[in-house]
Amino acid sequence: MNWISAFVIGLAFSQMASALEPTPTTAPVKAPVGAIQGWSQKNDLKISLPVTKFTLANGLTVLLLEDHAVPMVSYHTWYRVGSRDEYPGVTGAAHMLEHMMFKGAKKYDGPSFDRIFHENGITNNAFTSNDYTGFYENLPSSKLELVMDMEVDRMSSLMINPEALASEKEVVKEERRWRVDNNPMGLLRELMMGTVFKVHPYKWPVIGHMKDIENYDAEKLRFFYNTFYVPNNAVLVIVGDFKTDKVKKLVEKYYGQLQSRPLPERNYAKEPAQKVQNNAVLRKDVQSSSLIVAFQGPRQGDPDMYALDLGSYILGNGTSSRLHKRLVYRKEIATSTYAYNSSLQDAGIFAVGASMKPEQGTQEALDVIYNEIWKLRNYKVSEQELQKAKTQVMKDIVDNLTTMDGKARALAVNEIVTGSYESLFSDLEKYQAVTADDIQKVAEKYTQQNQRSIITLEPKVKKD
Amino acid sequence: MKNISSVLALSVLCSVMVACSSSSKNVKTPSVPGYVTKSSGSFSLHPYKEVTLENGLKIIFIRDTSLPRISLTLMVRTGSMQEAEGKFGLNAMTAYLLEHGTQSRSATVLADYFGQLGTSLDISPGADVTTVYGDSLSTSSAQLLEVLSDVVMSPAFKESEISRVRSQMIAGLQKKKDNPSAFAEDKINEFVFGEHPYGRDTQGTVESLKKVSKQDIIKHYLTFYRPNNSSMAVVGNFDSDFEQNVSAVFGKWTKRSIPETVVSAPPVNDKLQVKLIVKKGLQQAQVRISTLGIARSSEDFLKLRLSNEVLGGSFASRLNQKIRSEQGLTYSIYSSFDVRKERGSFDISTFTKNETAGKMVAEVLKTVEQYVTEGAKENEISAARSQLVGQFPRAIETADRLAYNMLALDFYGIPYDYLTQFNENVESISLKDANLSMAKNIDLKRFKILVYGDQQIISQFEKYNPEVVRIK
Repeated sequence: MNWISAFVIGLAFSQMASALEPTPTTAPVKAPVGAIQGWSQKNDLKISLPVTKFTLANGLTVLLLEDHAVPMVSYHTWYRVGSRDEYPGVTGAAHMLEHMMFKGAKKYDGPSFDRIFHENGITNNAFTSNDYTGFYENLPSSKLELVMDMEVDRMSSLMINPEALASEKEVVKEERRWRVDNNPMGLLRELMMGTVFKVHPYKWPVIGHMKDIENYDAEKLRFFYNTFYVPNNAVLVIVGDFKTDKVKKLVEKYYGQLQSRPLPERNYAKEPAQKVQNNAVLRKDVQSSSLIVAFQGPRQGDPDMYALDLGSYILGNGTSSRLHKRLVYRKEIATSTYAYNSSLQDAGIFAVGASMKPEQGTQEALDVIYNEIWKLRNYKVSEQELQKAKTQVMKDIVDNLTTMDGKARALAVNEIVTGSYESLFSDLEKYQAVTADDIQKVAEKYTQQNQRSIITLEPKVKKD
Repeated sequence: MKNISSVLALSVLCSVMVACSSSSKNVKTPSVPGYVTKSSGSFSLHPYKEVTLENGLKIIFIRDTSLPRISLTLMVRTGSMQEAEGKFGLNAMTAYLLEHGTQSRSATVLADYFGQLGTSLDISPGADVTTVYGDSLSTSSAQLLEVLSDVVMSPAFKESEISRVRSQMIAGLQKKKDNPSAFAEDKINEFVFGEHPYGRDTQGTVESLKKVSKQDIIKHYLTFYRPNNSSMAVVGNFDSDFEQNVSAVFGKWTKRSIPETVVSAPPVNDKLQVKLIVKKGLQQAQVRISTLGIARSSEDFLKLRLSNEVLGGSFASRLNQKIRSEQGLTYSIYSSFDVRKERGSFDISTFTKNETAGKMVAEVLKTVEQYVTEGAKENEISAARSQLVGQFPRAIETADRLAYNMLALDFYGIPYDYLTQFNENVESISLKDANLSMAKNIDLKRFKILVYGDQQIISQFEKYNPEVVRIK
């Protein structure tokens, strides 16, 4: 789906089926009148948001959406750069640079970013994925011009101070230990990407290898910054309580002064089609086993994405899914199971996983998963399951649009990965059009035995 | 991601939340008879209506027609606080079992039903309250009401489902060790609260879950899952007929008198205590520093929230600047007051590599001591005020968030005016009051420190004479 990639550093890996945390705080936003039309009939689902899109002469893409629910603004600046733009030896550079974006620029130097955001009642954060890097602020609407001034400063004149870099490298090393080295599920995910991709840069982790983190220097990061942090490589999305005309003028005034620069041609190594099954096993001091069956999937924009998304919902989304019923409910061998299709810009991953109960091996679960995938290839899904999956997708899309921040994210990710935010709306029709035949066809195309990778995490045998 | 603390800060805002005032100045919902609009200056909340049924169930209705969806939240005033000795986990088990079958629907039929609505049920058993949340597209509102009321009012508690849920919960507890952060969280709560229910995992223990019987579950349900012990929020795109249906359906729920809850007091320590939990091979040490804090009803609540904002509430906080930005000792550090119905805790949460665990603790204590002794500076408190006031609208940005906050306020016995008066109240807290509140409530001699890491942490804490627990 065109939601924020499952591999973004910082987002939850997946919704485990028996997750215990409720989210009673997610809800509809007071959207502009007419924000959503035609929902009275389930078969006539249309979303439209009155977005104003324009491109500055320097190539900056801008999306503006008024939303007067509360006197706030959500301000998103995303760059088309991620870990796929790195090379061996400097893995994690895009993420490291994301951290350095808070360490001072020409006008707002040193720790000014943290301090000024705080003094002005603004919260902020950032994230990095395989394909893009995003920065965002949630601010009182009266602070819009200030935030713009700050974002322009660090888009054009970032300082990369070697001392600040040395200290921030330690922070990132702690982040890596926390996300990966001291977190078995993080290790498993890293192993999965390295198993499914052998050639394409998706094979290395977004956060980078520890030895590479230790070796970054200011020069390398500066080159990375100069190359990719340019207006013609960025998307600016502003959603909230403002007048479009006024903000358009502000954007022209502040960002208009920046120069575009030619971007390097991007020739990412193409991942060859997988011909034989891959296996990878990780043995750690854990209480129980986990497993992932993963396949190369369609890239973003491929028409197969929609059917494969729905197929993943039918297999593993929620307690009514096929895998939950068999592995968690009937056999009672797993604590949770999931399936997802994640289409990144150059390739995708279709993955099915289960987390076992302690003392349970993985073979029985693997057999069930193989069987369910086989069924997806050999039988049509029922009309009822298809409808359910479509309703779930629709509802997920609506649920993600309840806040200003949610709208800004959805617009930004669609603009970045498909080239137009409108895919957010047109996708609804594409999901609606998927048939049971389509799901069977994509299952046939992507989930053959020789196309799969089996990645397992097993408890070490304890000697004492 | 640069850091997790801002994400956490928001969730604190919205759960403990009950922390903000409002501003939906452009709410366009037409006025509906019976609905109240609360305003403060240029701000107003979504119009709402409150109804109390004859059986004691309080229902808050908030209409929001901007999206074609509807949500129902039931908050039951029971949790691990109401569990008898040795039956820990009873409430969570009871709560999870609600969706494992009713008198007329099996567990799988229920799962399919919710799936078909495009949704799933969120059941969240806590210490003070348990919430049940469901939502759907508004075209399915009648079905959602029907199935959610069935789940809440007619659970079956079949023996086979009890053993299934028990086994799931036990597996979950066993696997917790693989999640160092969650494990450290449990252990510090146990350390600070002792025998008090806030000290234990709401999921119980492996041993206690085995002792929970079907009779226990039925008794717990019949005693506490009652309309006069609950409140409810109905939010979204609905009409007057739907309101009447909600009242009619839940009006059939029978009330009972609710017994008083008596629990043991948390332990009091008069000198700093350190506990090390050591597991060979861990790549990083989880550090928790806590002490008893305040109840939500405390008059110091807002002052402490403001003061804590300076100490450990954001990227710009003293802890984050000193420990993360200046020394690179961690990726995340924050402090917070976990306020509850009874006295909660003040918590500092962070992690670092095993080699620097001792240094981290020393630096944190130094920073906190200086802050508590000398207090914040005027510019720091002023920034903190801007932060609380500036971010407040997000707490009521959606009707669901507003509803949840109203349920929480109602539970704590705090008037809804809290929301409309929030900005004014925050602005009126002086530097002196903020500093006094911190000095009065935080005493480093009463801190408890828990570190969960590799064995190499032990030698770094010798001077604290720590209790060392080794696990496999």
